Amino acid sequence: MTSPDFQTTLHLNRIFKASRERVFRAWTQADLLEKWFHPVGFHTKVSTLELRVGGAYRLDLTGPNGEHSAFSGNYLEIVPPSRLVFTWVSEATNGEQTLVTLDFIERDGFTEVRLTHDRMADEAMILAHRLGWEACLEQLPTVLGVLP
Amino acid sequence: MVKYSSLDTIFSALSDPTRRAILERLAHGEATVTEIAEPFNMTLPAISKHLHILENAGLITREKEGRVHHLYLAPAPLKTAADWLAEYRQFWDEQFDSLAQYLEATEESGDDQP
Repeated sequence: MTSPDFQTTLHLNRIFKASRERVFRAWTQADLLEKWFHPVGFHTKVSTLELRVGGAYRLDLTGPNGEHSAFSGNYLEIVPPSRLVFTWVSEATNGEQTLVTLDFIERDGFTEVRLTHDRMADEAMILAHRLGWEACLEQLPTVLGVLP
Repeated sequence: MVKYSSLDTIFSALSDPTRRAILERLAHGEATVTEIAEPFNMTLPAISKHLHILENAGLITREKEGRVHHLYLAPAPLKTAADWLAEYRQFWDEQFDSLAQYLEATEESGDDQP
């Protein structure tokens, strides 16, 4: 028997010859995403891109023979130009939520992109919501004027 | 019997280190519940719970011989999970190729400036 693969998370790194501001913009601006986010011969239409925590995105890819696939999700973390976290739903995920994390690290004019694609999106969502709520609750006394 | 599980059930079962250790152990050959429980500092009910999760995900099968339960690794769902990861690895790899081409092509023109 072959040795089993117990990996549950996909890790992929790549170094690009560009500043991380440029790389971050390429991932977060609709008109720029449409220029590159597709395999050769495909066409990408970004119908929604709300770059805020909780905001939605939707990408529709159309192939040369009319084949179509859609990707969508919500942004969980946006830290320009170093980090982007979003949920990812597609046909290949059976409509289930997965989680994509992008870290952008710049060195000598080159930018390393570290991509993590995790199936455990639900747990991450719960944590993000909880942390979001906790941050809101910490703000509350200030907002209400209870604290200086 | 082959039990069909959703990818989420498989990945969720694989996400726990104790359950991965149980699978590692079974990858070397079948074992009884007592043998599985031995190296873990856990009660039998706690181990049982992990085994049920693995059974539900179709990752292990159980054969009863009187009061002794034998456990076996069922590799099919592991292959499903590995295939999913491989497919997405290729998908993101191609997207990275495309991004590299785009960044190179726009380097001079700077048409992505805000």
